[in-house]
Amino acid sequence: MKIAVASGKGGTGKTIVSTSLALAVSDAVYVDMDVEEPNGAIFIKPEISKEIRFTVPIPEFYEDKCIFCRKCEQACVYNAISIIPQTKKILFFEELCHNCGVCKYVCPVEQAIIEKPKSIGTIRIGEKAQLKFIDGILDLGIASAVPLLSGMKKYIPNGDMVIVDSPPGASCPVVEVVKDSDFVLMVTEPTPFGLNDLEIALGIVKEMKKPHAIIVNKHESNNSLARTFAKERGEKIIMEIPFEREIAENYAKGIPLSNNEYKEQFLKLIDNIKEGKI
Amino acid sequence: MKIFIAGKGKSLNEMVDDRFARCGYFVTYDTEKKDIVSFEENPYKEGTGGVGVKVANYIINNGFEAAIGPEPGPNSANILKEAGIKVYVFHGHIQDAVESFLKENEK
Repeated sequence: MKIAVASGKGGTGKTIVSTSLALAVSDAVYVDMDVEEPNGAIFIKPEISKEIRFTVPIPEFYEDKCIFCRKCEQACVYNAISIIPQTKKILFFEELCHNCGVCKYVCPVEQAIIEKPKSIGTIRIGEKAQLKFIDGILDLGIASAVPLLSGMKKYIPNGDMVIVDSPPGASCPVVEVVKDSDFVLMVTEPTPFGLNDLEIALGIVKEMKKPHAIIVNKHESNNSLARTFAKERGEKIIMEIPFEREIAENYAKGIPLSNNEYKEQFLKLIDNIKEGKI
Repeated sequence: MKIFIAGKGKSLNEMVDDRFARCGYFVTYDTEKKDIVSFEENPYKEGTGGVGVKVANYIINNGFEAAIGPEPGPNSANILKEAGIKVYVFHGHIQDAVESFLKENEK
């Protein structure tokens, strides 16, 4: 079973929830797919046994072989290519390229386009006691995290309880993580910002017809924003993590919610999800 | 000579757009006929990415010898430069832009 922890707004507590959940289960697989700022390792403190450089194919264009037919330019839906027949030049905009390979596929000339591997990030594999750990680190300046996320999936063992820390937002990387998850935990903070972005992210999860539930972080008894939000939309809040100094102090030291009280709550949560009670 | 104008509107008394590739209209001015000979609504205006490349490719493949508009983005500017198509930067009415461009070119 694969549970994705997503949010919409950044900084709501995806990492503390997903690492606490993984440590509570103990023999789970924790996968940090928040590859632009992976910080699950700070809480899990795994021993890394393997680091893999991840590459994507990127086209190289050879002006001396090109016949300037513009087939590649017209086929590229990302508009990453400019073929200039007037001056016999080719401009390639790497940051727009999605590595789909269509340019090479449609090129009628041998050797005018050659695909070369380009490193875009690192996949790390490790463990902490019974817990298996995988994270991805996207290189600086790389525009799209999706190829790395899709590449990481190969390393996730089958059949285990897998907890995935999703990237924030509501765009392609989130879709890439959520699309093959069995359940999505949406972590929010009870503020207008948190709920605004939660609504957008919920739109994706519902569109993909994924079972889901909300965890409210930084909950205060005098703040009913999240409860009202959930009630109005028929969404379920399955946990409220209080806004407490002790939690924040531990968080700052890299300690997740690991006391017995939380451990029991998280284990019960997992059982309920497994049994379809949520 | 055919000139490409990134127009907010489609007639001489309307404005040059504030955005190059995401302008409202592709306006074609013919220096021999001394008038706008055609225009089309910019089909790429709402594109999600690579609009600068798309529009510059359109300009270099449709027989334009110069372009008038606001400062183009880096991708458009790069392509037009490599294709040897002059970009005349102008903010104001299309009429004034054309006159100013033609005067400059007489020199």
